[in-house]
Amino acid sequence: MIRYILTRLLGLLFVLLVLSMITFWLMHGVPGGPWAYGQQLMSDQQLEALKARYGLDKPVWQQYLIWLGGVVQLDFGMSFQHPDESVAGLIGRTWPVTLHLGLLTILVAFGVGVPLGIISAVKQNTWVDYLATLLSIFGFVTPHFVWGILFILTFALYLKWLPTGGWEGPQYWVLPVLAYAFAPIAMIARYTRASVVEALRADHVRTARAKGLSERSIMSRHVLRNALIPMVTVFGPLIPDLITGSIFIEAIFRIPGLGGYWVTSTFDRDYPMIIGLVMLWAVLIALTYLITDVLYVFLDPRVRIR
Amino acid sequence: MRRSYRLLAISLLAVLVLAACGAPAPAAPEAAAPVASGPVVNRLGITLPEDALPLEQQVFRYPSKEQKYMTWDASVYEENDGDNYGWPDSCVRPDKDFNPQPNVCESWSVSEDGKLWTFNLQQDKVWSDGVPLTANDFVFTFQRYARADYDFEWFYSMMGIKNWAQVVSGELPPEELGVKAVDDHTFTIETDYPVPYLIKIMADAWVVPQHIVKDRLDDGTWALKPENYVSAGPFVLQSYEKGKRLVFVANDKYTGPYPPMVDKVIVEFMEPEVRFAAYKNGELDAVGGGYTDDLPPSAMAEIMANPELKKELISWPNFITYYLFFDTWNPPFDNLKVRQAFSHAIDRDKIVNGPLQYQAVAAYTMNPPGFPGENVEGLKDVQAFDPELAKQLLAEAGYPNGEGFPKLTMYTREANPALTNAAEAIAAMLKENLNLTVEIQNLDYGSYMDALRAQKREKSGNFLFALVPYEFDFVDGSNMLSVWGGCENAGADLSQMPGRHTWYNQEYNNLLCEAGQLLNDEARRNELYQQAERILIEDVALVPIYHGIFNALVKPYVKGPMFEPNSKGQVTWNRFRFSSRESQIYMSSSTRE
Amino acid sequence: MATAELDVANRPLPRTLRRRSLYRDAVRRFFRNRLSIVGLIIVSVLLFAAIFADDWFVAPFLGRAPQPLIAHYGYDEAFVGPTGAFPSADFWMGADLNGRDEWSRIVYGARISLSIAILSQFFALLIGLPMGALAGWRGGKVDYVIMRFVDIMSALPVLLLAFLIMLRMGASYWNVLLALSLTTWIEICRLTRGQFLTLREKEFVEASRAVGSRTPRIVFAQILPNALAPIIVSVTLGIPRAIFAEAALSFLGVGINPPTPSWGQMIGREGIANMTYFWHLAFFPAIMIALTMLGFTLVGDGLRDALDPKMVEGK
Repeated sequence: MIRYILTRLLGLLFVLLVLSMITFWLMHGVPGGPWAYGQQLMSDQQLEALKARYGLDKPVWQQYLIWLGGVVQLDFGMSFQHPDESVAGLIGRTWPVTLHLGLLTILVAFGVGVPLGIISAVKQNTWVDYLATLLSIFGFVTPHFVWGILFILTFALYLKWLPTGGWEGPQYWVLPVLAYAFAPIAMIARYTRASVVEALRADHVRTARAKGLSERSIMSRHVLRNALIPMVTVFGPLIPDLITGSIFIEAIFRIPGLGGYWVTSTFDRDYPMIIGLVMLWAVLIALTYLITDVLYVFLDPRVRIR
Repeated sequence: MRRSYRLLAISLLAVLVLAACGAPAPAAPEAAAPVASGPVVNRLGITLPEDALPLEQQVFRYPSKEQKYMTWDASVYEENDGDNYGWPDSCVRPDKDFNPQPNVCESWSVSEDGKLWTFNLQQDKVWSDGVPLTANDFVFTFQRYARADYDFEWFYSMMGIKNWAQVVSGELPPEELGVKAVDDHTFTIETDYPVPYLIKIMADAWVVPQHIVKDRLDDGTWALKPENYVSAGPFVLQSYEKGKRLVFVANDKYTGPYPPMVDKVIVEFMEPEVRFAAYKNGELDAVGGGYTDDLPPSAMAEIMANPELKKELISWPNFITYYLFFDTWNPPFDNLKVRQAFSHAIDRDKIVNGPLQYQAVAAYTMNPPGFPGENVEGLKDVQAFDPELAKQLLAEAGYPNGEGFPKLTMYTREANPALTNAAEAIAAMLKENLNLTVEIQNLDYGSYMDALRAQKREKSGNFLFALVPYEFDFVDGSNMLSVWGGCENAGADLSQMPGRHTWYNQEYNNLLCEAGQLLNDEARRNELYQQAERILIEDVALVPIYHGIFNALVKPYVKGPMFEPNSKGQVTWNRFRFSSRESQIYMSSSTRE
Repeated sequence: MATAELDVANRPLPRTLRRRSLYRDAVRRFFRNRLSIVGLIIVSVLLFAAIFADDWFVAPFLGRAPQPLIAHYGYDEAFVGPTGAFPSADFWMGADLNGRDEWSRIVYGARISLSIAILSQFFALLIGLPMGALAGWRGGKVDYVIMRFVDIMSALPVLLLAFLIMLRMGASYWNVLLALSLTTWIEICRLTRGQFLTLREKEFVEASRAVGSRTPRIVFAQILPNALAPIIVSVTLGIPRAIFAEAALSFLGVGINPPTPSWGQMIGREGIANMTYFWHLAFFPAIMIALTMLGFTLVGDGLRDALDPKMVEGK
């Protein structure tokens, strides 16, 4: 097991290396630079000076090696968007906020989605099931920025219950979490329903029923445990998505998190931040898959690592 | 198991709802404010008018977008809102009619030949850390402006200061610059030629504390460090909460003509889309009056339909021109007839009465109405809407009914919905009147300016047709025309000529150059600018489309001298850069007229 | 590396049925599901609107520009109605701020949004299927190389990658397609590989090999039909996701170029900003996106249920 995990982590290093090269090549191909463009045309002299200030006057491969040299010493460079902050510092400042939002969202999404899925599976093909399905499809098909604006209009402007945005305390969390959780609730409910339905049909459940076990113990011991296995693989990848934030939610609700930087970094040609974010994402994804796979071994006794 | 899930779900929801209801709603100043007992005196010892709310409610909040830097000398295009009043103070300060008034510079004079300016500073001016503000701070400020990687260097280069270019390029040490301190309270500016509008540019001489910045070549990061929050203006930065807001408090060391009344100014960072909602919800005291789409068409329609909101609306014209330009050095736009056809094919009235209702007036000139040297009346017919004439001109140019005309892309720069609407309307008119197919491509700022630069400097030839605004930098006839040319550098290639577009006219340049050095004869200067603009418009260097109108909503409890009209009877909610907006308001228990 | 053994999302079909009966049963099962039929109807109506928005298919023969059929006006005809007019008998969905008929733009928008969604899945299939098949069939070094490449590509944040591509190449229809295809082929590749990996070990493949069938025959006649089911489902469910992704790109200003309408662009540009008063500018395109996603999701769900032979009919 340990060896398996180590091999995977070694593979991650390789992925990161190649990934950083691809990203470097891609981002330096985008026209424009990190400096402010005034209303007038820059002189050649000014352009040279700006390039030098940002270290962009060297060939791209040299810039890459310089960056790599820094990374080896765990220095990811200074952000171009916030000249007084390092990339690590900027992520360290903004990510906790996004994590906070993401974890709340995950809590709500699972807290609502899983029971909803179980109920509609147990009451399959009744009006309860149809209602839940309809609800989850409704949540799934409407973009969350539409939800966000609708919530602001309803709960802040019309009902005057909550502020329109900001990130100061619990009353500021409600609307973004709800808007953000809508789609995952729908997804989780759908997959939960599917896996529970499948688990209910399994032979051993039939046997258990024949043995005369109570429905409750059948559900908890046989059905849910088996239903959990496929769910792990589906829900795993949801998590990095949710904890890295959404530009839409964070922009609409004025949340000082990481979500916006996935987009502003490219707009502002913040090269160190772009590549820092790519590395962060790659590590998160790799870890998620690794944890999912390891979890799987524990949950499903049939799976063994060869 | 099922029950426990249900329990979990219910308790989660309960926690959320409780959290929502248990915590108090954000403070809204309009909610029945107690009238202060006795007069309100702020931290500078200034007594506020009788109807002022208590000091703790003297907080003014408005929205902005977070930017990279905190000071003018770092970047003008990427500076956070608020630094112009919160930090430094300017040499002179325009009033509501844009006339320079004494500020830190108490008085000034210019020599007979117009090449030496002398400025006398206010005697008792100190920085908020107690250090006296001296002429050396101004000298240092100009030395900082004269550096190659500063994005507003081009602006100060228009002052014609002696040895400017050499200091920028590093050929001469900064001490050789034509800005010199005579004594602690006097400095002089020596120019190579007479610059009649120099005093107007001095409105943007935002003095920085030399004892804090120290390094002349600092990129501007100095102002991001909390220990460096040192101000000479009416306010001083109390805190910068990254990603959230800037909080300014009245500067109790301030001495000068614009002492603050409100105790705090809070700049909330938020996206334009949600500002109107936040304003209506009482989370902001003012919204709009900027370049972002704070009040889009739907907001304007809502305001017009709502008498309460309509009372809070302030509208006034901005000196800005949105125009189409061409690459006149390449086909098909090297043909004047093609450009003329375009200029007659666009019905500006339809645009400003349709998608841009309340946001613009039709434009036929580069200089907007009310701007020095403008000639709106004289030029309005040159490019008048005339679809028949447009068709005919296009046919004469060799493209009858648009046949054979290359497929066109119109580029826009970081367009907000309103600008894209205008672009789409233009495209529709070109299709209807000239049978041309035009696609619109929006570029982000960097890509756009890169392409614009390549078009001129490298003659790339692939950036033929675009829509762009130009807003004034200072109120002088020379300013907006400078986009199209200026004094020629002898023997320079076309690509190195002044101006940002691929249009060249020697006569135009000569006129601009002559007027730019004419001292003490404003009337004659403006006459020359009018002649120059006629060339510009008749040669269809540009097709002006509209001049923008600023709209702002200000809560009725915000009162003060800011709301007194200017000489044209306009009430403006100007950029703070002019007339020092934040020092001229206070929060009142009664409402504004 | 043990990834393959743990790749549980791509578990094989447990029982191999002969192709004919599998698909015939699937069709029967599909049409027995009422929700799938609803989905199919929605999708058909949308496709119909997209195709017959104007008479593009006869216009070239008549030597003129296409005339609107289902649409009332051209998508770029401005000032045909009052600015921001609300829905009425003349303008079923109102007019936008340039006085263009919203109904016509919605109908033309169907063409753009649907074609982008479907084509991006098609291109993703074009890349993902052969790569996945190659990796799964050949295994060994080929598999290793392809899968490491997939690992790398899947570790790129989708939105950021799409953004870099759009900024580098410039906003246009084809570049949106490119950005979306490049970010979706990975899943299809993974899925295909998983299917091939397990199917090639199956008895019927061994049997074919034993009787001397050649590789192309085995791949195309034996494995591919059996591997197709989850891929079809994935592609169907990928369509609503692509529509959403296009909407997100347009919302951020790097999507389809105006005046060509796409639903995402209609919401993102004019809709959201003007939602408080001119509600119809966001409402109708949002409804259309929701409807499309609903239609394809229902069809996708129906296909999954129908193609999954584990489904025991009638429970």
